[in-house]
Amino acid sequence: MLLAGALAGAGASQLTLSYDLAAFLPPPDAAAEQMLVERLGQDAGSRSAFVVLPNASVAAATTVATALRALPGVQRVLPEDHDGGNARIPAALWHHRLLLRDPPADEEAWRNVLGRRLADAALADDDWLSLISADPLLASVHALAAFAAPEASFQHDSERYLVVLTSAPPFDVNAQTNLAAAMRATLTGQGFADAALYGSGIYAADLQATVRREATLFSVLASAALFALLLWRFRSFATVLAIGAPMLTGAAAGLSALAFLYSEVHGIALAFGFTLLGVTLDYPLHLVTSRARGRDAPVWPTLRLGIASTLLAYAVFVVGTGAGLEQLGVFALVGVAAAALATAWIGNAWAASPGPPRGCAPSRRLMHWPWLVTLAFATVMLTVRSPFSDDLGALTPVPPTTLAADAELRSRLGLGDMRHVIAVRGTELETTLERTETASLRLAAAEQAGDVAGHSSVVQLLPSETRQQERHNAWRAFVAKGGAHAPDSDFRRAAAALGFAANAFDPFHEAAVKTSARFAPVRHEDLVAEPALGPLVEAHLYRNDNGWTSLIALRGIADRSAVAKRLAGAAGVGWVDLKQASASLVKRFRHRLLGVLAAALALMGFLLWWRTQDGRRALWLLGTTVAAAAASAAIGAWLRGPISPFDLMALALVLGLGLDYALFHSKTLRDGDDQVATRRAVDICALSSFLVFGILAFSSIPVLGGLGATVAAGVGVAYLLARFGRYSNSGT
Amino acid sequence: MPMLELLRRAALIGAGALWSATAVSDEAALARLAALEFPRGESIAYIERHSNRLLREPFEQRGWMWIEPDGALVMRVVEPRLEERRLARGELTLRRPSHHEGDDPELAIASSKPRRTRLNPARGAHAELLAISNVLLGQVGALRRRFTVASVAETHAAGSADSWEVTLAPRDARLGRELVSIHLYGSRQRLTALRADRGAKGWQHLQFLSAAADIEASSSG
Repeated sequence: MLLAGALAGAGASQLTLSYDLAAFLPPPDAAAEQMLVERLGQDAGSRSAFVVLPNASVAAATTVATALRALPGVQRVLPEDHDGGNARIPAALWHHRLLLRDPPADEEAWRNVLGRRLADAALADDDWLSLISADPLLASVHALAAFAAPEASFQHDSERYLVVLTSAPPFDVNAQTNLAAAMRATLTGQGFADAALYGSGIYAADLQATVRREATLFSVLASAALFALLLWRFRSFATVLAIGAPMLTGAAAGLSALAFLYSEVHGIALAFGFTLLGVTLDYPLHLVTSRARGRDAPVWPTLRLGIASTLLAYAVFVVGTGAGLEQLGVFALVGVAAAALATAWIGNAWAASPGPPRGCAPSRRLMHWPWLVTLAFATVMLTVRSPFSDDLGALTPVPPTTLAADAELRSRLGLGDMRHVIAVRGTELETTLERTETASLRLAAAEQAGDVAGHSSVVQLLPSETRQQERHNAWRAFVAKGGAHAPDSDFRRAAAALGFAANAFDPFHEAAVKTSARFAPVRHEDLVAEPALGPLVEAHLYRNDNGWTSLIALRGIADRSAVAKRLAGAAGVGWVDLKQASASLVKRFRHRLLGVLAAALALMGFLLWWRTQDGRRALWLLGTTVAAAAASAAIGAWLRGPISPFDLMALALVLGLGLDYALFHSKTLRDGDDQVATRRAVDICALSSFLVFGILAFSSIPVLGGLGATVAAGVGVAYLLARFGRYSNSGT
Repeated sequence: MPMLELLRRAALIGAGALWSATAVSDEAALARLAALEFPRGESIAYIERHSNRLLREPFEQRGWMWIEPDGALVMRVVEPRLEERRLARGELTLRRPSHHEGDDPELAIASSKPRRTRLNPARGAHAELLAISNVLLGQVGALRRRFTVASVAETHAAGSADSWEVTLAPRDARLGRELVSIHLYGSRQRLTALRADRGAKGWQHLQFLSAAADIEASSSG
């Protein structure tokens, strides 16, 4: 056990964990699905944390925002005061500001622009006046504002909101945990201990803490209960330790295999892998119970058949199921094999055991009916109420109330439509940007028509080079005519008519001269290198194997079909319904899991028939196992709601345990003592599994609670069916 | 002697800051502000002039001002360009219609995109807007917290018995560098004008035209 523990520790220390759900999803079919998988957890709002300050004054909210800005890992805190003028505008934007917006075409257009600046100046401080004199188009401010929802209100009733943009992605759980702790400490220090925090990173950090707390609590509770049960049953510490050794050995072997085969292991694969190893606890239990009566030989043939069936079932996970399920399969397969070997080594009986229980007299009776009735009843229950949900959100362990509050907050803050997005694709970056500009123009028309409130696209920060070249040429012409200083220029006439001083726009003139001197466009790499802009650009523009994709976020869609109509026919532009794409992905993920389970059952059935040479027994064994799994699914669907793909993974364990109980209850026994010993062994196996998973069912984490409830229900039904509806081999 | 000059200025600023922080408001002036009657449910015409370092000559805007039932102060500029500023709960909502949004100002304002800004009381322009809102809504407590409020005796001596002038000086020395003072001019229980002084950086003057004669006078002038 010490060796196994050391191996497990060494294996675990070598593992790099990932939490990207995409590893578990099937290969995307449609372009929309591909986008969803590629961008899972990387949308524009995923790096944002939302702070809700109850009963806060403006001054208090400003003070809190200033304190939060000082924290490491915080890039920006919205709303921002532009009290630093252009100091807050990233350098890459400021230096290229005149290439970000088309220059006004004539005097009337300049008069319109400068008239607005005149009105701005009425509400401006000196720093804003400096900004206006250097950038009368406010191109740099508008480029940033497009991503900050200017119509958003950062207050509602007595609450005030702050949006914290973080540098770490939400799946960097350690960074998010540190940041969440620092934010909470800051808020408490500012007198807002009751402030609420929302956002993907916050949930990841809180979830890790909750999982750690609950996993510790439930592990201790389950282990204590199991230890007490086994001690009560066997009245020996040494025996109890011996029973635990194979499972620990299996875990060590599984971890070592994963560390050896993969550079990165998914957290879900590991968590469910440990769950699937639960079946290995039964092996030493059978052995020890049998040995207590001084006759372990009859156990091994049945046990070997059970182990082989389980290995076969778990092996299906490894074949062509994608990285996540493959890792789950490898861990379970290696773990069960190692646990079986450890059981044999501990029992020192593997070599001495006789062959499989071949040649038993065929059953005279047909299959017993309880499993059939149970299966039929469960099928009806599952048919009456659809057990599955295609909601990808249902896979998240974040409580629904928190998600609802999160959605409402995002809506109030104008953070864009979470369901619809425009994807613009191209093989080259330049083509993609040009196509995005076309789409952006059409969306601007849709905004004017009131079909959509706003949109944000990367071309507001990164125009195509063609467009930048056109603007550069326009500024060259502007400067060639004397720039802002030329008395008869459109600009000068408009400025003079509005009452601006002759030298008011000297900084703008200098910028125009500089811009026109040499074409130096803003480039993708310039923006990505800016800490304040990199995440924003990467959230809206990314590269994959097929080229580049630019994502346009929409705000306040009033008439979806009208917007879609305006975009129709634009090259490379597609409307993506993320909800529909996620539903389709989840559906195919579920079908894949059901396929895996069906294949596992088919292989188990074949193995059982081949090794027992008794078709009726094989059918009873398989029927009992399937009925238990179906009943567990039906109970879950009716009592807890739709079954998630994680519940389906848990059913694999139900199949393994159910088969174990059925095998031992149906085996041919020599005498009454053997029957009693076997029954007691199965009793203690079932009771221990029911106890452990029954305790887990009380976890507040939906995935863990669901796992516990599914397995506990399955174990209960499987035991009852095997025990009281058992196959009777009356010939021996 | 640049160093001595620097020390002298620092001492003056320090003394000014100390005075601002410890200055006691004039209770009579506060009582006068508390007794101001800004007509609820009515629109008051106003003229706003401002000057800053970018302008050759003062810029003038005309509009209407009213207080909504929820306590929001609305300033609608009708000339030279349509614009609406709505001040409520420390937030400024600015609506500025574009040219193609029709001739009906109500419709144009309603269909324009709001741009919301949280007002930061530590910034000069924002503090000024908050002060206007506080004065017109009779929020004397908020004024007392941020400003030293004082009656100006000279006005009483020079003007008629009915006219008065009250000065607001920011308590925060940093704010005082952006917003030197706000002067409120009134007659009996009516505010007639407000002038914000931003030192060398400019000024802003609001004239409230509650009577038809005022409007005619301002138009002809």
